[in-house]
Amino acid sequence: MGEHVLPLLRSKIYKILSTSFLYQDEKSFAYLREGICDDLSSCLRVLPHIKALRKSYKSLLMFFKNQLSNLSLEDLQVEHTCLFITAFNKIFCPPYESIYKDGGRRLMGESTIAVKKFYKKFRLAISRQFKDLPDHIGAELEFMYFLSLNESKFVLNGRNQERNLCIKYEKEFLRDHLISWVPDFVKCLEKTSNSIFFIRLSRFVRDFILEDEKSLSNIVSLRNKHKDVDISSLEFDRSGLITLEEVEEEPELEQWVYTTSPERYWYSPVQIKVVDGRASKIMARDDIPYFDGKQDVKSYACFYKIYAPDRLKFPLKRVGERGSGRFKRISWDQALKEIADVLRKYREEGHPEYVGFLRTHPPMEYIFNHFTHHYGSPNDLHTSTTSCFADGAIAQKMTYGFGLGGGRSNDDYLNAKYAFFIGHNPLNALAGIPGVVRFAEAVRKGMRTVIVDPRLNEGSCIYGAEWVPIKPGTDAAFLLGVMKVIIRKRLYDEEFLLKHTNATILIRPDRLPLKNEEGNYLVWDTTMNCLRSLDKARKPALLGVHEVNLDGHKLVCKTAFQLLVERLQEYQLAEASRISTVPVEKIEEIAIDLGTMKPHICIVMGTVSAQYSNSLQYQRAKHVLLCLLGLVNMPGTQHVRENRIKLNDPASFRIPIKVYPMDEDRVDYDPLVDRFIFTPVKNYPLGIAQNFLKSIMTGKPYPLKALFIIGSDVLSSQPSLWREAFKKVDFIVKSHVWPDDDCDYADIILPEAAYLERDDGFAQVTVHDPDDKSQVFSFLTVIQRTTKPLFDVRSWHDYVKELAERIGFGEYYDYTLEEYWNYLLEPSGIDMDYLREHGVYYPTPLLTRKIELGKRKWWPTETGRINLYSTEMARLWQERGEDPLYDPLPIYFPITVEPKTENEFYFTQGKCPYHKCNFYKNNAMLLERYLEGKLGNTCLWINARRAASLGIRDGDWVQVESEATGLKEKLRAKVTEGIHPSAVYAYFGYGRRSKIMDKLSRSREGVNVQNFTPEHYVPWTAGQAHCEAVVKVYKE
Amino acid sequence: MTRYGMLIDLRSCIGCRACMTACKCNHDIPVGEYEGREYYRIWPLEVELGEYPYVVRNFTPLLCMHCKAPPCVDACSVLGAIYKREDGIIIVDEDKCNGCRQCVQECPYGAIYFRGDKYIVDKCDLCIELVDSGLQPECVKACPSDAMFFGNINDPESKVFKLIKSYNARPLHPEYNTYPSVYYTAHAGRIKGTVWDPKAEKPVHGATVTLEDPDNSESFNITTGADGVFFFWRLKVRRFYDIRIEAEGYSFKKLLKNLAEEYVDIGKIKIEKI
Repeated sequence: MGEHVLPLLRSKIYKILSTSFLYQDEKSFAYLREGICDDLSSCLRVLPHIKALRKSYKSLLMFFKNQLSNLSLEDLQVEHTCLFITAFNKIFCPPYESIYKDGGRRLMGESTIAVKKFYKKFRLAISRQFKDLPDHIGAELEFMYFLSLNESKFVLNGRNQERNLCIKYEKEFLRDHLISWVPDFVKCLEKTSNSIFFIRLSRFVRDFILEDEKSLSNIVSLRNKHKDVDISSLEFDRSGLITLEEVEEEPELEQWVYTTSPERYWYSPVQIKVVDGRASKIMARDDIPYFDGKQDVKSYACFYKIYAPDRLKFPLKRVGERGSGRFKRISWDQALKEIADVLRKYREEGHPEYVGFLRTHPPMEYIFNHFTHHYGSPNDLHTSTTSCFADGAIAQKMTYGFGLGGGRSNDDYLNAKYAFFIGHNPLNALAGIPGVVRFAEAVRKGMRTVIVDPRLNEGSCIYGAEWVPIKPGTDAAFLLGVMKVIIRKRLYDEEFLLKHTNATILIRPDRLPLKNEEGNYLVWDTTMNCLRSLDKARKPALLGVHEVNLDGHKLVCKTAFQLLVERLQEYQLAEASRISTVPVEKIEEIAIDLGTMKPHICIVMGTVSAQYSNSLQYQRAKHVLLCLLGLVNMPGTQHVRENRIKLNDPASFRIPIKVYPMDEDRVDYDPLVDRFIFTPVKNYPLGIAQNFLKSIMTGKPYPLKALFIIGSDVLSSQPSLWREAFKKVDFIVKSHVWPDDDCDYADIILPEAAYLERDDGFAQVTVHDPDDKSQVFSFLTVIQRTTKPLFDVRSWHDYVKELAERIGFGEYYDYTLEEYWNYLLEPSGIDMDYLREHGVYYPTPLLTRKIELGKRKWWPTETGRINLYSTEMARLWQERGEDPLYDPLPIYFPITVEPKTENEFYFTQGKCPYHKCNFYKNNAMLLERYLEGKLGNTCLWINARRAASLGIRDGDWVQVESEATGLKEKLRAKVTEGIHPSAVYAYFGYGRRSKIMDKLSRSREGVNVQNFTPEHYVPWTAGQAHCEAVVKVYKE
Repeated sequence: MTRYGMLIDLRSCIGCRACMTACKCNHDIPVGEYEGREYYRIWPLEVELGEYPYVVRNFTPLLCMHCKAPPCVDACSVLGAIYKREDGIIIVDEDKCNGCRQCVQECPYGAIYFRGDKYIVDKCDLCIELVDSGLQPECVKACPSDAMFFGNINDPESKVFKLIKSYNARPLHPEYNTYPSVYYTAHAGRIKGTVWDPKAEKPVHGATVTLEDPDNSESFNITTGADGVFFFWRLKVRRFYDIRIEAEGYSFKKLLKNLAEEYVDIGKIKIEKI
């Protein structure tokens, strides 16, 4: 037997082993069934290894002989998917070296780069059709095949030096790589899975590589004569390679790529360090005004998101029942074909509206809006509207005519003496880096911070912060009390009220505004002692009751301010105190401080407002308080957001044609809600997710039959209801980067590229000059791909066009994304190439604009002034049977639930500032306990005194039972002094039950607290009252 | 002689934890834990003080104190696996460390943690690669509220030295006698007390309590509620405060209190009915 035979046989074995770890298709499966045993035994028979391998080889053979016939191709594919691709039911054993060797169970670790470098020496890299990582076991085994094949070729051609070189590298690769992790891989498989095939196969691999290394060491090394050989000059035999392919010699690439960190509200320009295709460091740019190299906590954890082991890698197709979590991997071709077939069917039948799209909001989503228009379905919405900001947005619109923009660097802390937080956690509300810098400066200079919250939240660690505990759902009562004191002590800003608000308009007894024949709003002009229109009156009266003759009737009209004063006069401070449990003295103290320190006060708006069924009125109370104190656009207060760099309107790019006349309205259409908040916002489909649910369950106004979910985590919001809905729908597609509960119910899963792997055009960021808050400036920041997308993921930009083509309207996508972005950028004078190179663009001198309050004479409300009295709401109030929800002046009415017995509590919930929303559920780094705080976040906060009376100690397991939803769950008690006695609190974001989420993601722990709150859709605002529930808490 | 150290200004710290994640991200420290101690070189200490509703939350970022008399160096079983540089920075030598964890036990601040995956210990090294090139450590760069300062604490001209002096910053737990190089300003001081009528045996509602800092002419006042409690949230520690209590129908009371710690409850202050 020639000397070349041994390595040749070894190479054959490596090849066989390598292909068994790849995803099987018909051809390879046939080989597995028919040919593999004979080939393996014929190779092994002659090798010296056979003695040591006898046991594991026999066990593998037994499987092939006895059990392989019972296994179909699909069975094996599903097994492969569940074991190696999805993290199915905790039996996840990802076949990558970095998972076992580098800490943190991450992909693309140090060892992956080392393996990549090793391949590079031989001018090899992962092949384009393999689409997996270099340290995949199949690739590593195939590399050994390559080396031993060439070893054999060199022996045959008598080239001993090259042969020794191969042997050296084979030994090195086995020692440093394969052997260093395969035993752990085997242990993982043995411990968690019961896949006999893969266990026996990998045992065999392990034994073989150990034996192989030993046998290589026995070969007498010919005194390092290979030292003179230059690998790059050698010709290698690269036949038969599947996972690897030849590449050009490339220098190691280390670069810093500009992009934007989209971590909520910070939209800050960053640089990402990419070394050899792996993103490893993130640095904020310190060469841009006001972004002095600072980042938000979540940005630093971004690499854990991208390299999470259970991220969706390949398109998957469901094989088990809905909810079973069993999938098999399919190709994009197959996936898009199946989706297109279903969508085309509904369209051809004339019912494209049966398909509902539930989405999240990435920055450049015009492309998708385009899709739904041409597809023909009006049912396209962002799921976050009603569960996040609806109430607050409507309150702002009813007061100013548009939104104030939440807490995005609008607050002028530099000049503030008092920061007042109500209903918002400072760490969540302090959005914007320049904002935090100035906030801290203000605190150092002596700014007072007062936090009104049922819970001593994370932001209470601000130096000297005062906590004012309040009963859940009673914020409006408290604010009315504060306003009462301000008015009683005459601490309101009269000039502001006269000049900028509609406090002076006269209101009729039916609560509608008094108007003359031309339709002008009327006030009482004190200089002329008569009625005059709002715009013409020189000195309108702020207070006053006047008898007016209208159409022959005598009407007693009062100014809006008079009505507010009268309402507050009737409202007793003692009552406000009793309802909110804030002591009278405290209400007075706060009111007097606010009244005397104005206008250097920041009442932080925040964004999330969907808390109670009375949230709207409490938000209105906040805005009316702003009016009383004159806190809009003044130094030290809120500022109205204005000014952007002029860009082309996305909606003017290609006017979408409604191919199928949308006779049917949106299934979530609510005329009332639409009129006020959901008036068509061209690129931003707001909507009422609860109505999608209703249409699926009741079939009214018509049933939704298919769902296309992109990026949203629908099940986390109303889990039990949506689960039922998912079971009823015919077809579900889920497109996302990471697995979540929805995925278990999807028919097809499309894996998406994470944001560092995508080109998303650019974003426009508007920042207030923190040193002079009346100045704003805007800049454009690029969002571009920093690394190649891993596995077979695609950005939905990349597949939406193909999908459209398959369904039959691809002709509308006659443009590239580059053309679209450059079109938007046209007026600014730059293009995408400029942005990619520089990262940001801001015109110099800075495009600033000074906001002068005095000059702002017009607000987009009915009266043209800031609405102290909301005339829009007054009409609704009449139409809706005088329901206090629509009261044009702030009013308190209690929420619908109240704890009664000794062990009942208000159930409140919120988001941890370090991982907040659904984007971060899979981020192992953000879920570490040191970021969350003591006892972790999967616990229930309960007041110490109440806990003691119930016999509950810190750390005890308690039952939490919700009568409204009927659910009972166990949580660990966190006994604290820092929560109102009537309330308990738990963080949102846990209790994921997805069967394909890895255990490393601690969001699988605990409980989904949404299970305790019933579905509560507030009429008109469509807000979900997240904190409106009562639970029983007791020790079992 | 250069001695590197830090000043952490707790008046500016908002507990955002950017320093902690920036450190982990930039040093490529993976997620993990060993016997309950997670892999953080800089980690949080959160403390709740007081009784409802007069409760405060204090947050302190902790890290290796780079002590002048480090117990970890003495405890090391391998010579030189953990050592002090000339400029005062304490460093772990990865190659020499054998994972015995004596240093972990000896450090009174808990700054050293054990990396289960690499079988060595790890801790803050004040980012020596950056510092040696004249740059600032990661945590200092990352802090959005400018609460951290780094520099030569032996140099009277350095910013750190000046700030430590002017803020009267001190190390934590000086009673450990390790002489740390990391200085902290104090948390806000709080005083709580109850105005009490001993004869009627109940708290006095509506008393005006005024707190004055005689040196700095700062003054605060509060009206007590039904529970008679007064609570001041934003005082400075290590200072004397004059407390004046006035209530209608009661005699005037004045006391002087030293706010030695961060949360002082002076209990019931009895005032006599006239």
